[in-house]
Amino acid sequence: MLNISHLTKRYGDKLAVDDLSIHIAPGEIYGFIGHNGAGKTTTLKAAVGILQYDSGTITIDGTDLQADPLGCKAMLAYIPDNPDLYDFMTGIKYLLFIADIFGVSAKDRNDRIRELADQLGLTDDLAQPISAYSHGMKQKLAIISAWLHQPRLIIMDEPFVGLDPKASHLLKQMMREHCDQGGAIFFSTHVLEVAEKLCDKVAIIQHGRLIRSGTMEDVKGDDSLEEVFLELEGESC
Amino acid sequence: MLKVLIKKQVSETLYRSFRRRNPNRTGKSGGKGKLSGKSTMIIMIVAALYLVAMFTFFSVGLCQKLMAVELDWLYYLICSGAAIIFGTFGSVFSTSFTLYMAKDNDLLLSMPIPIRDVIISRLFSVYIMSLLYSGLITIPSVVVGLILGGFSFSRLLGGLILVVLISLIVTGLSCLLGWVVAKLSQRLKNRSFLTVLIALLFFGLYYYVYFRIMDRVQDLLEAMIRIGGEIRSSAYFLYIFGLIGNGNWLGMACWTGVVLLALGLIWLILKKTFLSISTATPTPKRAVYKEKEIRQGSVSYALYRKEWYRFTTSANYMLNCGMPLLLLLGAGAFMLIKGRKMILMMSVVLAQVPGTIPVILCAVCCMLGGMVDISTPSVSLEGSTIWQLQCLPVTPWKVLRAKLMLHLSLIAFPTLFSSVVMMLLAPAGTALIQRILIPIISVLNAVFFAQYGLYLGLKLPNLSWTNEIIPIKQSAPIFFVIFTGIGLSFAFGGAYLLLGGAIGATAWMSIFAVLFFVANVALYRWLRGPGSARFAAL
Repeated sequence: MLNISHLTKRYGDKLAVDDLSIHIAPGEIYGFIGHNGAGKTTTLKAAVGILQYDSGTITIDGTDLQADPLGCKAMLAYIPDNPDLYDFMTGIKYLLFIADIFGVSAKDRNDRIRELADQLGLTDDLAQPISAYSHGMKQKLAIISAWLHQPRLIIMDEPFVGLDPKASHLLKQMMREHCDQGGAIFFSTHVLEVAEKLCDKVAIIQHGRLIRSGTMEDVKGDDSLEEVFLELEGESC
Repeated sequence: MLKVLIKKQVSETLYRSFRRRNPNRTGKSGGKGKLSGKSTMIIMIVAALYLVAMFTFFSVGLCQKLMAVELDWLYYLICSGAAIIFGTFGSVFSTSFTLYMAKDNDLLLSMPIPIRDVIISRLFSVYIMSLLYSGLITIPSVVVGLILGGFSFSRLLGGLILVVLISLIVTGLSCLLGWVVAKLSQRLKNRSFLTVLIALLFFGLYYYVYFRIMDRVQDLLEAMIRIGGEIRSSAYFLYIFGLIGNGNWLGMACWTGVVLLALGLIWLILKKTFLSISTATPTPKRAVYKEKEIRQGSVSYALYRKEWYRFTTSANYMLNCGMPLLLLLGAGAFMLIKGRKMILMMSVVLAQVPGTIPVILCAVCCMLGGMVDISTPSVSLEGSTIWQLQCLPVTPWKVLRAKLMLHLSLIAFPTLFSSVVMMLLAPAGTALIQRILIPIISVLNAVFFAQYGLYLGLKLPNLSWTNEIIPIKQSAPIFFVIFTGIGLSFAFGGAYLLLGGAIGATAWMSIFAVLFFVANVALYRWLRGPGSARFAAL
């Protein structure tokens, strides 16, 4: 579904991502772990076509991101770490905007907005301007907008930050259902317990380089993911 | 602590105004940021010099007349009144945002910083803004007063005190009005439109009074001695304010005391209410979502609608960038009512250069059209939300086209209305081609400024603003567009009197139509190609 091959990105003299390769198959929830400034967000932004990269290739379902960016973007949804949405719109206007961009039919958008907003407890607030939303409500709206057009690949940067426990639990269920239906999810997180329980595969990045990746069993063995991560961090220090 | 906060305010203003560097870009772009900063500074200095020259000219005329009849104090009073009005208008709309709605309010208030220091640092920004705006009038008028009225130490001191007092009065008025706006904003549902409505009423009143005064200015000058005597006897306090410029110690002492007392009161109000207003969540009536039948729209329409929401939900955006639309409509309406009389007067004054009237009428439409700068801040206004458009399956050109379409759809009717009125009102002997060229050039001019504003917005973007007033009102692209508009109109209308008379109005207008057309094609090509690529890489 998502194939990142030898991705390299520099900011001036700083090497943010160094020859990174990741392959995510349909049906997989892929966790992305690393310390602050390790290159997670840069990789995710490059994978959704926001950030130009220096070398390497990124393909989504076999389509090269640089050759056909719109084709790739039509297949994915992205939720950034800080969901800066259009404050000047109401929640419902924002969702309709996203639905129009992705060409979701009137019937489908009605059904999906109703279902997702009810699940996340946001229905009553959809007429409110986004500027009046809390961080968690914005995150919920971003989640609805991501699921609204039924993308094949969902890329999320720290999606659990700001969510209440119920919404957090629901998001995990939604992620699993999405992958069970043939979709794929690539997300970054600092919550290692969540990654350990939720992910089929995981990658650990350090100073822009991929230092370990594979199935959860391959990466952590008999230890906890936290122990492995801290051990790898310790080695690098 | 206070020093640190003031330093932050100053560096924020300077950084936002003169440097804009995309953190995702490296190497050369840093240099580009510096270059754009220099360009901004140059254009601001040119703009300031232009305004200073204009007010100096105004001051010389007034000073000569009034000092000849020993009404020095009335000269200073009139100049002070003009400075207070100009200064308050200049800074009032940004004051409530600077004081109460800055994005870093929560951050600062969560730190162990006395609220007093936060207010003072914010007031410092307001004061600088007030000083800059009012100083454009007070400084030239004081200098002119010193030169024409004779230099003395007391007059110099009085002049300096006048400059400071007026800037303080403007600060006080801006704070009070900003406070009212902030209080209203908390309770109103459609506060953008209501703010615009209130502001327009305010502007309307101002222009009504202004034009009434201009109508009567000749009478006033003739009756100045009588009026001066009346003010002196019935409004003695205003009289002694005017005396400050003459270095009158009583005036200086009284008014310094009054202004300081008034500022003290305003300070108490601010200190008492700052925390509650700056941390309050707006509480308009809560709307509950009710499911309605929804229709599917096209991608282009969705992008256009997004721009429309952006424009109509911001009073600042509407007022600062869209108000010239009303001026265009107003100019058309004014000419419909008083056009014949105006054309008759112009025919007498401009009889020496044939064909001037259609050129001037067209130049007026162009100048007003050039003042509409809706597309200019539209890229910067994306701010931290720009990631959305970049990760959606839409081409950058479609995004830019939506921004252009908003500008063009709003300016289309006012431009056509005013230019067609001008076309119909052109004097009897005007050639048909000259008449037709008036709306053609006006439309080409409107398209040019829509594209030129977007071009500048892409060339000098500022996506890291903390207050939307910065890209809307205080950015380099806005200055460039406004002064290009004024410059081009003067080049078109004014230069015709000097140069165009030799080649005739038809040829002159045709040259400008062709130039606008070529510039529009070039800008269109740039926006579709390099401009779109630039947007994608922001």
